This record gives sequence, C-alpha cells and structure tokens, in this order.
Amino acid sequence: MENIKMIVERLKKDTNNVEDITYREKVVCKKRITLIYTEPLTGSDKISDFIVRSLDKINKLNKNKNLLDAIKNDIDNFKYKEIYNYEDICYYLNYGFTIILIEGESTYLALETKRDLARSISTPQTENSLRGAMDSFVEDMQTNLGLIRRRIKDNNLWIKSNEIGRYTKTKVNILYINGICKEKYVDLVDKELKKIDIDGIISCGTIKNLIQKENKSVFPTIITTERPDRVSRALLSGKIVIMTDSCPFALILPVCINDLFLAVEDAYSKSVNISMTRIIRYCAFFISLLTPALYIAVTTYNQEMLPTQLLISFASQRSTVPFPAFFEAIIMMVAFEILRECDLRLPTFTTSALSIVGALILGEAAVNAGIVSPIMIIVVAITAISALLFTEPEIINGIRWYRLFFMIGASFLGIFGVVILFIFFIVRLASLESFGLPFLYPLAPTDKSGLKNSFVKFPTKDLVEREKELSDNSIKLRRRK
Amino acid sequence: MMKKLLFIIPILFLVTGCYNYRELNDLAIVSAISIGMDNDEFSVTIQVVNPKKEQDTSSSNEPDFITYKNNGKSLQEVFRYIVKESPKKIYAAQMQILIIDEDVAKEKLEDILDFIARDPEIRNEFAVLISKDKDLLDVLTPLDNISSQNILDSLKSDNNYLGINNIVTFNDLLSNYENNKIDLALPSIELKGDLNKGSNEESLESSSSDCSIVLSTMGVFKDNKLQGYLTDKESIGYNLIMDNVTNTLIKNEYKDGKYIVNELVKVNSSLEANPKKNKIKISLKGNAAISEVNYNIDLSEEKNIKKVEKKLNNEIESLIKTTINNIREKYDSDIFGFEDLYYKTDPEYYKLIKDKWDTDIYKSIDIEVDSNVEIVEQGNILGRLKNE
Repeated sequence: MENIKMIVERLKKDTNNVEDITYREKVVCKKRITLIYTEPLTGSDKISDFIVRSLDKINKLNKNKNLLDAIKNDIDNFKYKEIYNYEDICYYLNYGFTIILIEGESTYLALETKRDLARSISTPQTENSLRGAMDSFVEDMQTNLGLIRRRIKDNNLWIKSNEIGRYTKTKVNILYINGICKEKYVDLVDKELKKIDIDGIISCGTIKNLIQKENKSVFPTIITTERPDRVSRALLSGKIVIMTDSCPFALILPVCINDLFLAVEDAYSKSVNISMTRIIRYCAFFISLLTPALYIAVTTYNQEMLPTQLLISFASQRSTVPFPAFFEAIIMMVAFEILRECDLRLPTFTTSALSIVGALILGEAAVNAGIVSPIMIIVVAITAISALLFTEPEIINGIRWYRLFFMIGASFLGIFGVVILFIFFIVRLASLESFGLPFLYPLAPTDKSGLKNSFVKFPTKDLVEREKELSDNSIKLRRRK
Repeated sequence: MMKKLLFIIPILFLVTGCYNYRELNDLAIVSAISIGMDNDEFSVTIQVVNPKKEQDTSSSNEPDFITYKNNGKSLQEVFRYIVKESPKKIYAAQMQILIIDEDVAKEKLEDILDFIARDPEIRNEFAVLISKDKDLLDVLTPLDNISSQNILDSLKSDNNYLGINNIVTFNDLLSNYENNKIDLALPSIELKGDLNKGSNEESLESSSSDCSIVLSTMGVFKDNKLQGYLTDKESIGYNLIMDNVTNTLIKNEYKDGKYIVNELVKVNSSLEANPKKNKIKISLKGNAAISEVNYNIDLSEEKNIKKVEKKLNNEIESLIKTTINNIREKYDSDIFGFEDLYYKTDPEYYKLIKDKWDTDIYKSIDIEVDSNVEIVEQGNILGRLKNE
C-alpha cells in the first residue's frame, strides 16, 4: 500500500503533475490497484475494452487466487511486460503502455495500449520512378519494418536495436542480412551509433551527420531514401540500413560513387537500354561539373582551342556584354540557385509565377539588356539540367561546390587550372571512404563483378557474383542453370 | 601542414596574376593575313572579323570584316604598330589563310617564314596561298561573308573535286622548306574583275558580282623562290603524282573534237625509285566514272568500255609524263621530291650521285607510268542518247 502511494507521489512530483498522465484507482478482488497511462499516447478504447473489462471479469471470477497471476492469465491485452522498478514505469509510460500497480505486490505490469498515430502508407514523394513499387516509408517504425519484412522473408534479416537521445529516446535500428553483409561494417556502424550521446534525435538526418566521418567531403557517403524497394535491394547487395523511429526515411550505407548513378527503374529495363542511360548519367555528371569552367577557360585563356566559326560566334555574342566571363557565369549560376531554392520551398501554386520570372526575366530580358550573352544562358541551362538528373540532393549540392572551384580555377589559369583542379578532384574522390568502403569502388579498387553493373549494365544473366568489397563472394548472387 | 597547404593553394592562384588572361571582347580575331612588298618594305594586310555584325541587326550596314594595313621593315614591328589603328589586340591563333604576294614569294619567302613559325600564338594549320594580285583581302564575298573563309572553302572544294589546287598548310610548307631535297609548290589565287567595285558593299547586292577572288593554279618554286605557274593540266598531273587528288576530270580526246570526260574517284598513286638505274615508277590505281560522252560509241558493250578504259589510262600516263618533262625543262624544279625519294630508297648510293643531281641525274630520270584505273560507272544512260 505504502509502496504504490510512494510511486504515485514520486511520479506526480517528477512530472510536475501534468494533466495528460492519468491515474485511476480501482478495487479488484478486494485489492486496490492503480492504473497509470499517458492519455495522448494511449487509445482510451483499448483501455476500456481490454483492461477495465478484463479486470471486472477477474473481479467476478477469481475471488481467492493470487491477483497478479490472475491478471497475467486472464487479461485480454495481448502484449504485457512485468516490471520491477520506478525507472521502467516511467519508460513504459512514455511508450504508451498502461501500468498496473497492485496493492502489496512489488511486480508491476505494463500493458500495451498504444494509440495509432501514424499516417497510412502513401506513394513516394521525393523519389519518383517510372516503374517500381509505389509504397514509401511512414513515420511508424513497425510499419516500415513490415514493409521490408514483406519483401525479405528470411530469418537472416537481422536487426540491432539502439535507443538514442536523452529526451527523445528514439529507436534506431540497424538492419542487415546475416550472411551477405560483412560483419566489419555492422560492427563499425554499431560502434558509431553507441557513441552518440545527444539530447534528441528527431530525424535520421541527425544520425547521418553524426556517424558520417567524412564531413569534409561534399559528396554523400550515406544515401537517404524513402523507398522500401530500394532499401530491400540494398540489403540484398550486402549493405546496411539504418531506420529511425518517427522518420519516414532510411539510411543506406556504405555508399560508393556508382550507387549515386543507379535508379530504381533500372531493374525494369533491358540492360542494353539502361547501359545507354547510365552513360548519359555519367556524362551529365561531368557536364554539370565542368561546362561553365570550360566555357570560361576557352573564352578567356584558350581561345585557340575553338573552331574559328564557333569563336567568331562566341565573340559576337559576347561583344555587348560588359562583364568578364567569370563574373557573368557567377551571376547566372547564383540566379539559378536562388530559383531552385525558391522552387523547393514555395507551395506548388506559386511556382508558375516563378517559372515566368525565371524564363522571361533571367533568360530573355537579361540577354536583350546586354547583361549576359545567349551562350551563357545555354551554358547555365545545360549545367543546371544535368545536375537535376540526380534524385539525391546531396550530390547536386556537392557538384555545386566543385563547379565553383573549377570556375575559379579556370578564371585564373584557363584549361591548365581546370586540369589541375580535376586531378585534385579525382585524388579527393579516391581518398574518400564510406565506412571503410572506398568511394570509387568498383573502379578503384577494381572489381570485375562490381563493374558489370556500373557504367554499363551487363545482362542480368551475367550478374552472377556479389560485389567483393560488400559481401562474401563464396556465395553466388544467382546460380546459372 | 594541411592548414599551411590550405593557405598556400589559394595564394598560388592569386600570385599567378591571371597568366595570359584575355577576355574575348578584347581580341581582334584575325582570319587572314596577306604579306606583300612595297618599295623594299613589307606591306601587311590583316583581315579582322567584325563580331558586332553577327550580333544585332542594327549594325547590318557594317562590313563583316575590317582590314588593317601597315608598312614596315620588319614584320613584328608592322604587326605591333597596327595596335595604333585597331582598338583591340591582334589575335592570330585562329588565322585561316596566309596570302603571300608574288613579289614576296619571288624574293623574300625566308624572311616571313621565320616570323610566323617563331610566334607561339599562331597555329600552324592554316593554308598558304600565293596571290597574283594585291589587296585581295579587300574584296567582299557573297556566300561566306568573311572572304578568307570563302577562299579556304573554295580551296577545299578544289582539292576535293577538281584537283588543280592542293591545300598546303603552313606545317607542310615548313617541312618542305627545311628539306632541301624537295622544292615548294603552292596554290595561287587571283582577282577577277575590278577591285574598286569589289571592295564596296554594293557589289554584294547583285547576284553576279563585279569582282571576285578565283583560284588559279599551282605555283612552282626553285630554291625557295617562285619561278612560275603550272597550267591547269600540269597542276592535275602534279597532284595525281603526289597523291593529293581524290576526284578529278580527265578528258579522252578523239578525232574531230569529239571527247569523253571521265571522272576519277579514289585514285591512289605510289612512287617507287630505282636510283641505280635512275628510274622512277609511278603507279596509279583507282576507279573512274564516265560523266560526259560526245563520241559515237556504244557503252552497253563491255569491249567498248575496255577501249575507253585503255584510252583513259593512256591519257593519264601521257599527262603525267608531259607534266614531269615540262616542269623539268621549264623550271628545273624538283617539286615532286624525287631527290628525297632517291635519298630515302638508297642513302648510300645517293651520297655518290649527290653532286651530279642538279646538273645530270634529275634531267635524265627515266619515268615509267603504270596507270591502272578501272571504269566502274557509266552513269544513268548506257549508250548514247541517240545512236547514229
């Protein structure tokens, strides 16, 4: 009796007697029991349906038995836990459990009465694909795990749970397939997660930034995705997936540069056709990176590299522009970046105004006013379009940094500067690692099995071996029959 | 260390001081240069593209190009002093043709080659031509508005479809110039019509212009001095021997002014020397098409075609032989590089005859021509339109 009162008093004191924690007293089999639950997290129908009704039933039937055993035995609620101390009581209260304290017992019961707070599964918003599954993750971890379990029905899909955040106590799960994934990656990620001591985790972005060692690099070493099919595919190829509760995105790691060029619908197309697409994607990457720099270089230093007719055409277009080519390029690049940022933030119904401003004022009028040359508009347009080919915003932003570096290099040293910076760029990429996986894999270190699905995609029949760096190669991905 | 590097790298960029930086707007893009003589001084004409012309319609009555003229003792001075007149720096890397006036070609070729070859900015891939008239670059041209482009294009067409003039780039010229076993041969151009009318904007307003630039024939050099010009036929012969021709026309002459015109396609020639016997064998292979017939012959019969073919080969052989003999007699110039060929085939033997080459050997080389051209096409009509 004393015990229960003490606990209730302590809880009331610790929570400053907040309104939404409800205490309800009841007498069952002549014993006083106290129900405690957090109202916003629990479904009141669940409490009345299962707990209160069962307690009444027990009251009628079991006059003589031990009450704790009777409740454990007869309660309708499916999931319950026995707990023994005050800390656990607080913990389960915050998870939407109802705590039952029984007079004279030092064992308490926590019964699951969680209210369903998640929205239903909807189509992917940020990663559209022509073909492919149409479901995406939601805020509820159980639903998300379900979406993956539905695709991979095997005991070897292992999950390591962590709880991160002093206040938020967010569940962070590491998913991997035992037997495909290399242990060293799992250990590394687990160690990194355990190191995190932070007030709260609201989204997986925080985790991404905390465990990503290569913060100096502008290219992503972790992919964020909302597609369960993409996650499942990654798991099957030996990658690790980190899922955070109440965040509709999952993290895939380790990542090499090639992963940034793959898309979900690749699996649906013929490999010959998708090979062409892959090549275009790689070209777009370099176009987006180098075009403004090369334009600056050839118009301010290396004019002899252009065919005469083209040079005359460039010269005629630039003849009315008062700014240096570098400055002209910077104006247009900044204008475009502002437009893009606006487009992301604004609600959809205002974007038409934005496109008119962008197309007419920045394009047409700027040329007529003689502020920029038409060729510059073309250069910026092709650069921007090429960058937008990637769904991962990190890589678009990463390209942006290097594009600026190349432009500065070109404006000081011409083609020579671009070449120097390009060497620096390649060295930088080669020195990157994503959780121990070299970023340029499968190019460097070269792996034939990985290369079969990189710049070009070999016929699916020929993709027999798993990628060496990611998984144990003794097991074949697919058997030839 | 890393931090130091991070500071040093940006500074490196800054201290370079924008090496060789030149904005496109500050350049006067040179499309052609013509070098002539004027009272013992070089007189240079530089043709500069007018970029404003292409940009806006308001300057439509501006010319497409501007020519700057200057005289002086040394070429470098002449070029640099043009800045006094031109608002922009002369930029010659995109130059397309170099026109050498006859008088320079006759005497001062050495002097101008040094200046152009020494300049690091100029690319050596432009075409070199001899001009029979002065101030050619002033002429406005209709189809391609920049006259140098016009000249280059017609030179290319000539090289591809006619075979009289052959494109000689500055690189070719330099390597032949440095090799004293080969004499130079350059294509030439001349003026047709009245220069005063041709440099006027009005000349472009009528469909047949009063003045135009036309290609002439190959000019022959001896010891790097211009000696004279070949005829059309000799030019074709020369280009056939040198394997410069892709397409050309050969006429089979018959009695009473009757003829058959053959078009040679994909002809290849090869030279083979036998220095000890003082003999050179020229073999030609390729295809031909009959393109015009004015002679009473039934071409639907195989044996008649064979006859035409045989006559064609004879024509070619005699053309080549006369070309070589004429050049030997008239100019005593080894534009075919026979001396070089002897040296390459048998260097040991060449050393023995080296001294006698000019006086004796060259004049007495025995030329053997083996023409093996096949007629593969007779066109859309087999026989004559009307059989008599």
